[in-house]
Amino acid sequence: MVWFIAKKEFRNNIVTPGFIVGLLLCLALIPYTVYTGIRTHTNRLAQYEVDIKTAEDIYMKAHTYAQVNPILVKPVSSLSIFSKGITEQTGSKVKLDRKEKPVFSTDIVSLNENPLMSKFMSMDFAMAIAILLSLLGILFSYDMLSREKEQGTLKLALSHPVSRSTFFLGKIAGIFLTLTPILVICFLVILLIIQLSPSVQFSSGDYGRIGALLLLSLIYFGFFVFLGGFISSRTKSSTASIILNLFIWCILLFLLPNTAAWFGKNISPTDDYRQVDFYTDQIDKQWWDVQAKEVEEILKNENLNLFGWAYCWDMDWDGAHATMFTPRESMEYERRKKELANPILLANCNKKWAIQSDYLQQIYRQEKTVRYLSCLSPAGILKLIATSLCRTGTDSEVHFMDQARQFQDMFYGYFVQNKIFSSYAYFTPQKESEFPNDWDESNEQAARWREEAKATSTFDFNSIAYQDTQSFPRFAYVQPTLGDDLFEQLYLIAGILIMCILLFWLSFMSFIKYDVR
Amino acid sequence: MKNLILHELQQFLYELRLPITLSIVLVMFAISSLTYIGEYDQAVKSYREIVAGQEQQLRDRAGLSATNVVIHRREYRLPPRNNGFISDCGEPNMPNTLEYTAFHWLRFSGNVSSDNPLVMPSERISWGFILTVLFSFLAIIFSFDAVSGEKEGRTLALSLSNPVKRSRILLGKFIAINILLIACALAGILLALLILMLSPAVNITGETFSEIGLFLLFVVFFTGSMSAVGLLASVMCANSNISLLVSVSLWLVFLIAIPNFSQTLGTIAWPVERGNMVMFKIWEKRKEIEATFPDGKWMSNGSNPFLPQHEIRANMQMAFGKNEAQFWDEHYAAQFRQVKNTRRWAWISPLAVFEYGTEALLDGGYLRLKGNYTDLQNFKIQYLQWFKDVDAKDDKSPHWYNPYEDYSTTRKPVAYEEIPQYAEHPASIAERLAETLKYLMVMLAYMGVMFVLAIIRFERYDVR
Repeated sequence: MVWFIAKKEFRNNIVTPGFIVGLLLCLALIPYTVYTGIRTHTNRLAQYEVDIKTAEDIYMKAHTYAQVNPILVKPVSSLSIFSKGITEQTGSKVKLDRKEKPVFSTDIVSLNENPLMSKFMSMDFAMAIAILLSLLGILFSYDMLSREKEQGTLKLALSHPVSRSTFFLGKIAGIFLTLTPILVICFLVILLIIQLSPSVQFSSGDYGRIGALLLLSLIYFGFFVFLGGFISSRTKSSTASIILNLFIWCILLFLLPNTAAWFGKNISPTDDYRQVDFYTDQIDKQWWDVQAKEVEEILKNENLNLFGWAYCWDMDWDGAHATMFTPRESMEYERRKKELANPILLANCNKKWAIQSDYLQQIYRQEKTVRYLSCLSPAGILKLIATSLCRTGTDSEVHFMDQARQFQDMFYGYFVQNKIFSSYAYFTPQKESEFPNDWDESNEQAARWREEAKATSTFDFNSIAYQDTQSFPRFAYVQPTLGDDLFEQLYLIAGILIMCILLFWLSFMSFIKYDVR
Repeated sequence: MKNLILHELQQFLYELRLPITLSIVLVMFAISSLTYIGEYDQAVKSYREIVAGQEQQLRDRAGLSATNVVIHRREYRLPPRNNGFISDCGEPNMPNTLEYTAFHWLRFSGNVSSDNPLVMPSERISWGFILTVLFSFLAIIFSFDAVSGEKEGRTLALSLSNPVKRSRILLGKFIAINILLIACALAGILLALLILMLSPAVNITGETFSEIGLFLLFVVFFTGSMSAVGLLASVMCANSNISLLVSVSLWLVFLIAIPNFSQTLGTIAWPVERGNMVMFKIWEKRKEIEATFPDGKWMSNGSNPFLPQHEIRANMQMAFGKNEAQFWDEHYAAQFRQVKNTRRWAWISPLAVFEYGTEALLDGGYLRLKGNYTDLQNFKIQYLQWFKDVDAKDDKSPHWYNPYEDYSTTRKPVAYEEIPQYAEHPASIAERLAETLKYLMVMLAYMGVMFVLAIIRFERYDVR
């Protein structure tokens, strides 16, 4: 019986202008969002490939160990075509630096284009779904009862020996059935677009995530259907019902998420990052003004002197990071300096981190406030879960950055453990036995090298052998699994489900007691 | 006519729509003011800190030498606007600082992740936002059933049987709807202003009031054109629910689809090279330039300004700077072109026109940034000339201008007060009005066309 009513409802709905307009809107907007998503994704992927190569070169083409400052590249998720999340404001990689831990990822790809194109209500697939499915849900259900009542068919239908609950379930099933052709058509178009773009590749886990997203959108659609049904059973005319519905729709979709986010930022303020910069600058100043001088003092006491470098490139805080043909005495000075300086720099890095992590805690707290507030709107919940499923949300960024920072500790820990900071290979490609003993020998070596290498410019070091970095730690990002992500978002999923069930129950109860006159 | 309008207004008074609308509007405006106060306070504070820091930096440099001043990348940070509560003009997503030296350097910088990058992007709740999103929606909600609703209520035939022209009836409805909307907007704005004026942090000047006045003029045109859309939908459809459906779809198209589509169109039709590509090209060209200069060009000696290599390098560095400036100027020109053309496309949507009009009125956002960019180009000429004059007076200087180093030009300190300071020239109200006028005209044309179409259709409307 439920099936029979559903079929009838489906046939009724499919010829309504609401269905046609909804289908047209969906066809105009949803494939478009996927198309733009793929465009951005392709750009990002191109950048990713360049970055990966650069990151590899850092290991493979290092003349000295000091030049090995790994770049950790954030993997690009193909699923980002469905939800942009925060990808337009976060960077694509992390550059390790022994002086400072990475607070945020750097190099924001979207900024590479035109930062002047202010994006008003910039839309992605998840947002399109949030807007359109809710609108469709309302359009299909706002006159679920009032239309039949206005046309006088409700009395007839209910006079049959059909229980009201069967009738209600049939109606609801019919509405969901009506959505199927729209979803199927849109899905086919999207599939076609994805097939035509080589940059998008999904793993089987990704399909699981897409499936979860689809299921979630259905729950979301249900929320608005039940809302529409409830309002429909509480209002006298279908016009009043649709006005009320649309008001709620406008508030939930457009006003509430923005207001909540804005309000959240205001009630949970964060320090200006410049304040953090100020403190870290103080620590840096401490290094230049005091600690570096102490290091030099020690070197002086040990009777070590620097008489200048012959060939030198890549200068840093602890002196030259690459030098050649420099006389032995200066080399020893350099080595000892780095041996003394680097533990201090690493300690300073930890001191800075104490302040930076405080700041990050504020950032996290603010994000949480905004997140909880935006859960007032089902659209906010949909967006949050979608970003989590598509690996474009805050969790994913935080997860990556945490691993990056762990890797930093591990990487420089390896340097300390293996005494790399106190080795000659840290700053020179030359072997200890080859060091020139005085400037004459140095000039001779340099002249010989220039003769052999035929360097094209002053700074062409292509002919110099690279250091072996095989045993250095490599970064491998472990992504959270679908299960992890779903578990993280469990409270949101539970929230929207409970709201949905509550509304269902309300509209059901309201219908049972509905006055058909 | 007066009776018609009064009658319509009276009808609205008894409806559900009005109380809902009024309460939402008041809440939204109150929130906009409350959040703005805290935000503005913080923005001003951090602006002052930054400017003080920049001044200190420049003073230190002035103590070293005039050369150290001109090769320093000075920053001009746009001060927060005191009329930001009217509209943020997209500024949170735009660069807010211009970096320049007396030589070739002029670049945008700053902003973007000064905010919390982990929070998903959202719109700022300003008057502009409330108007574009909420009032455009309300205009439709109030007008969609003006004709089709009466027909369903069977009162249309009656009112048309009176000896009143159909166009007058429609005009009456149109005016009544707009009076109502504007009254709601006014109520909200008054509440917002009241809250703002109670706070000591925000300083509302006479100029702000004239801006608010002009903004209201815009609001009239804006609600007018949106309600004309609703009316048109109302006379096009026989059933009021269908006309609502059509107008809400149109609203979605105006609000979401057109701005997004035009953005994509803009990036395809007027492409802008990626920043890192520009950088790469600069680097390639730089290598070429470097090769044309003889060996030993990198040699320098702090104690001998007249070292011949200094001259060679000064020339080379000038060539580098020029090369860089050329690429960036082109890059920025392309960006400006893209924005300009993209915006033209978005003119199809009255919501976009309203937004751009507000921006022109407040002299904020993109227009302000672009204006400052142009002004700074001119300022840089004066700035460099000042340096050349200072340098000419120093007979210990070889006068080999080098945009990145201080070896071969004057090393005498200079008084901080003598350094030319860039001052922003905000457009006067009259200038802004001139800029705004075209948007007003577009909106007026929009409203006119929609309304005339509605009248034509209504003249032939089947009242049965």
